[in-house]
Amino acid sequence: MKLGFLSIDIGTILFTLCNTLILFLALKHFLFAPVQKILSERKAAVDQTLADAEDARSRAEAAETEYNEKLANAKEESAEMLRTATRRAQQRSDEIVAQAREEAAGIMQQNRDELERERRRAASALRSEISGLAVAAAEKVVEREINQADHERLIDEFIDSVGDVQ
Amino acid sequence: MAIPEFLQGPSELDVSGPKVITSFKLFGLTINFTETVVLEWIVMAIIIGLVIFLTRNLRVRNISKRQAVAEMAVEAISNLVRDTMGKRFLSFTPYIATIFCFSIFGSLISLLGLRAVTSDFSVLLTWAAITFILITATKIRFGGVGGYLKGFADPIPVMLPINILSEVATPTAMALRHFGNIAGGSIIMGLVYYGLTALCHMIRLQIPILTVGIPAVLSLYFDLFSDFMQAFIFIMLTMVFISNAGPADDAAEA
Amino acid sequence: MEIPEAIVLAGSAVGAGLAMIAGVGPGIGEGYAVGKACEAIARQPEASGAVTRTMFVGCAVAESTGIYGLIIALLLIFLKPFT
Repeated sequence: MKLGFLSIDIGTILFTLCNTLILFLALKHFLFAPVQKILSERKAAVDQTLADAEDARSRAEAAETEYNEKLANAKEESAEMLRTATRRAQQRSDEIVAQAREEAAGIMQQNRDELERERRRAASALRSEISGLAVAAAEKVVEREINQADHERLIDEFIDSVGDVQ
Repeated sequence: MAIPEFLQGPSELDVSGPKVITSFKLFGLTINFTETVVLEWIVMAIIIGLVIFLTRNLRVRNISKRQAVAEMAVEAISNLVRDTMGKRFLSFTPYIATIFCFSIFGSLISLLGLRAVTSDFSVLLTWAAITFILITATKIRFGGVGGYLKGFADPIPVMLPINILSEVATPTAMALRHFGNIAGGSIIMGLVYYGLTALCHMIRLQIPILTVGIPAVLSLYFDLFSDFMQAFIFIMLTMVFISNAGPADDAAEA
Repeated sequence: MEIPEAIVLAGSAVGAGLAMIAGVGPGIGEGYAVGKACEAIARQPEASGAVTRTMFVGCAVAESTGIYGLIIALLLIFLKPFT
């Protein structure tokens, strides 16, 4: 027995209703639930990865900033140290040079004083020797009993010669 | 020379409905257990088997091709539902997918030489009735029973009969459209086979060789294209009607 | 009143033919819709997906009148409901 071409059959309707319901539940249970679970899990994983990457990036940025800062500080410090050292060295060398100059000047002054003293001593020694000689010459003159004129001439000559020495 | 009967081709055009395998009485109603129900079970077995095959060994990483297909299907149908109905109706996705798969496989089963499930008007009427119930439920959900009943007298009470008629016409038209396309296509294909067989007999060919390749071209349209289109249109109309039953401020939300 | 079967069959066949006049409307309408869809795609090729989808759904809806005619014609020819 066959139904008509455009027949409406209660039995078929009821069975189809049940079948559609069963297929709906089956699809929901076997396809949509697991696949959507996987999809949401993947989404969570991707979000997590992205968040991690973002975190790592910000941390790297912070580290880089810190590093740059430290580098700049170190440079500054070294430059400062260099400057200080240079200044100190300059100061020291200046000091040394000044001291050396001073010392040299002192030594030269000393030498000059010594020289002067020496000259004075020599001059005084010479003078005393000359007086002795003059006395001796006078004795001799006295012994020979020379005249007044000779006497005076001799003394004058002598003094002139001594004055030349001075 | 005796030619086996199955090679002789159709001797007459068969345009009857599904065979009744058995029938029984329940609460005074004659319940027919027809060929269509058996075919539905076959279709369901195919779909469920396919789904279980596709969703075996689901993983988050390193997915297999099967899983990619399953995910793609789920995403595609979800996107279609979201684009057509808006986000708040996303829970309808499994139902839409059910109707779509059932309709497509139920129509394509005719390629195996079986009777298409969707060429039984009762089946389509059932799906249309489910859609009708969903439309009504959505209207009541968003407008309350009072709002639903008041909708019939909109815009003026005189329109009451026309509104009732249009309410009933919606699912009927959906069912008839799908049924007409599939059943009409199958009848046209039957006519083609019948005509080609008659032509072969006319030119004294015992075996209808002409029916081997020529109908395939027509079958491309009447079976494949038409089946897909009708399934798609059925779910599109279902989605549009259901989402129209809700308030109209959907676009702002989506 | 007894009507000869031949007249009923002839009437059914003629009725089926007349019913298929319903195919004219969808033909014109769908042609118009497809033409407009072509224009729309030419103007906005990036919207071709949405346009095509909408066009197919619209065509299917427009085709339903033709399908009703086809069903009536098939009923009249093959099921001969009045004999």
